Amino acid sequence: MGRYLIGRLLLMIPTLLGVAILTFILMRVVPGDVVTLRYSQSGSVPQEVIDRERKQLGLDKPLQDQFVDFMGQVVRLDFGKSLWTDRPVTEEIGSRLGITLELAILAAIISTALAIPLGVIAAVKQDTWVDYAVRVFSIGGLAFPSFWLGILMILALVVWFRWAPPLQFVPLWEDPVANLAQLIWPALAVGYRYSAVATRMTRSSVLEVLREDYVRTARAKGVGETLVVVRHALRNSLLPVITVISLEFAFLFGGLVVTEQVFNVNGLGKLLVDAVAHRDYPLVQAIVLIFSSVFVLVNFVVDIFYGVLDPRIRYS
Amino acid sequence: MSSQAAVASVHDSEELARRRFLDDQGWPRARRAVRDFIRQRPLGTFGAAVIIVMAIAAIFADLIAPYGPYEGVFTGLPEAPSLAHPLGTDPFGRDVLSRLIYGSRTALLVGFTSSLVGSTLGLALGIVSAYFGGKVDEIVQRLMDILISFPLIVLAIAIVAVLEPGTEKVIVAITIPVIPRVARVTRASGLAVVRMPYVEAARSVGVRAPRIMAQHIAPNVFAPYLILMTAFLGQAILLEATLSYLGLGVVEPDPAWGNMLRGQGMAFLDQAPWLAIAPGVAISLAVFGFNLFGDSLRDALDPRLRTA
Repeated sequence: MGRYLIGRLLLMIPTLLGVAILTFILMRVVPGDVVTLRYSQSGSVPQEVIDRERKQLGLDKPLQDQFVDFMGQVVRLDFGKSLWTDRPVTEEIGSRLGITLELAILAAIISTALAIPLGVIAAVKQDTWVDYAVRVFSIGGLAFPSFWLGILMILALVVWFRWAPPLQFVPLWEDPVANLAQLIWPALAVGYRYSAVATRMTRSSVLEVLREDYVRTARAKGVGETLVVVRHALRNSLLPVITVISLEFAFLFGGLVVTEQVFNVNGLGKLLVDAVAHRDYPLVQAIVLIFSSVFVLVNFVVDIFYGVLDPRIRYS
Repeated sequence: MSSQAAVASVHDSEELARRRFLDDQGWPRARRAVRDFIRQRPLGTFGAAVIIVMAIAAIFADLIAPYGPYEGVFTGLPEAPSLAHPLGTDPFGRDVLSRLIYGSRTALLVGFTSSLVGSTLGLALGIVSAYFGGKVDEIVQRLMDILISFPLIVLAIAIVAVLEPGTEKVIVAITIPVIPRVARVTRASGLAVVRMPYVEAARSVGVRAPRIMAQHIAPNVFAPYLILMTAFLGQAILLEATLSYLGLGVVEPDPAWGNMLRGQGMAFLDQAPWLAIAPGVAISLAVFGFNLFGDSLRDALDPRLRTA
């Protein structure tokens, strides 16, 4: 296990390095450079503005120097100044990362809280109308784009409760109730969507375990049905469910990009879209890097988790 | 070769050709496959029906749509659904139904092109990786690992950021994230095929590598390729709608479902909900249709590929 952990950790380094390199290349394959692209539609821009921005981005240097600079930035987690707000990129991101993380965790909790009970009920009541209802509900989650679901929710909230997305964000530590009231709707929209796969996984996994010998033995001993389902079936069927949920967390993180836009939540995803709209390339670069690193890290944790939860899995 | 043997062999090849396209009862095989599919998979058939309706709307948009996609007099206020405009109009006086119909053209164009090109490039990379193995395999796979490390939407946004919005750019932005996902699966299927005796035989008689890959390996990993392509079609349509909704995809005044939801759809949400509901239903129905059809196709062609 220890050796596997180290090996897996070492394998992550080239991937992260590759992600950084690709992000670097992506921002430099544009015809001309990002500064000319930025001003391509804004008419005549004084040459000194262009020169200053090139210098600020280090684009006046040879490519290999730029790359060394960039890697230095990555290692020091200092991505220079935003072209749009003129504040340090790290500062811009720092204030938004918390919101997105909170939203992601909230959505993951909602998605788990929906998926496991629904999946178990569907499995226990297999092929009855309950089962069909749950399946339709979860397929719906897959078909609805999360932003469309968000729009529908806002529509319902506006019509019924005269509720509108807030303009100002309230941090959790200042007013937890107001904060949750703001984040619960986007979290529900994302959580529902991502519960779909986990619900289907729970259902099929519980169904499989319910056919095992030890479940039959438990029933034969006279154990009550609730206890059989909860203690014998559910526990043993959770492994694939947990895997799916943790993998979904990485996808969910990406899904927030759109939902934050719909609900006007000032998170990292909204920042990314705004940064692209303002052609703020240093900011785009940094956010893309963060999203992919989270993705890689979550995948790593899932792999490790898998081994801890299931002793049958041997690493070689 | 004697003339009699020659006649027999001509006859044989005719017989073979006949058997290839007709089954025992003389039905064309394709027709029978379609019939079985409809009988056994009602949900998949429903998906296929949605796709066909969408395709008809896209191809014959000029004939079906009551108005042109850009046609309208600016009024500043959306008009409620009426007989003249079954789904109402937007604040620019444009007919929502017509824009929806033209929007299916955008959705299918982007969806088809990007999933077809992306899956085909992925297939090529997967086969090359499986066939050559060793260093080539290692390099290709590490590259794919890196590409896969970007969440789909984030990579697409990053590409759009560099390319600028616009329909062709969106196609590129959606194609690239598809490649590594297809390459992984086709490589895995390809590995099993590479070890087959007929590949060994082809190699031993001196058939060149590109030809072996194209004629002997590609047809045998066609099922997963087809399945993934259908699966990514739905995904690509969703991704296009998402990008357009964010203002990073197909931009106004070009009609796309995603950008219909943006701007006016959101601004008039409480006064004119049809502006947001109509394109949203279209997106959901299209994605739902492609997902259902893709799932059924996978079950019919290769149940082993089934995941959660």
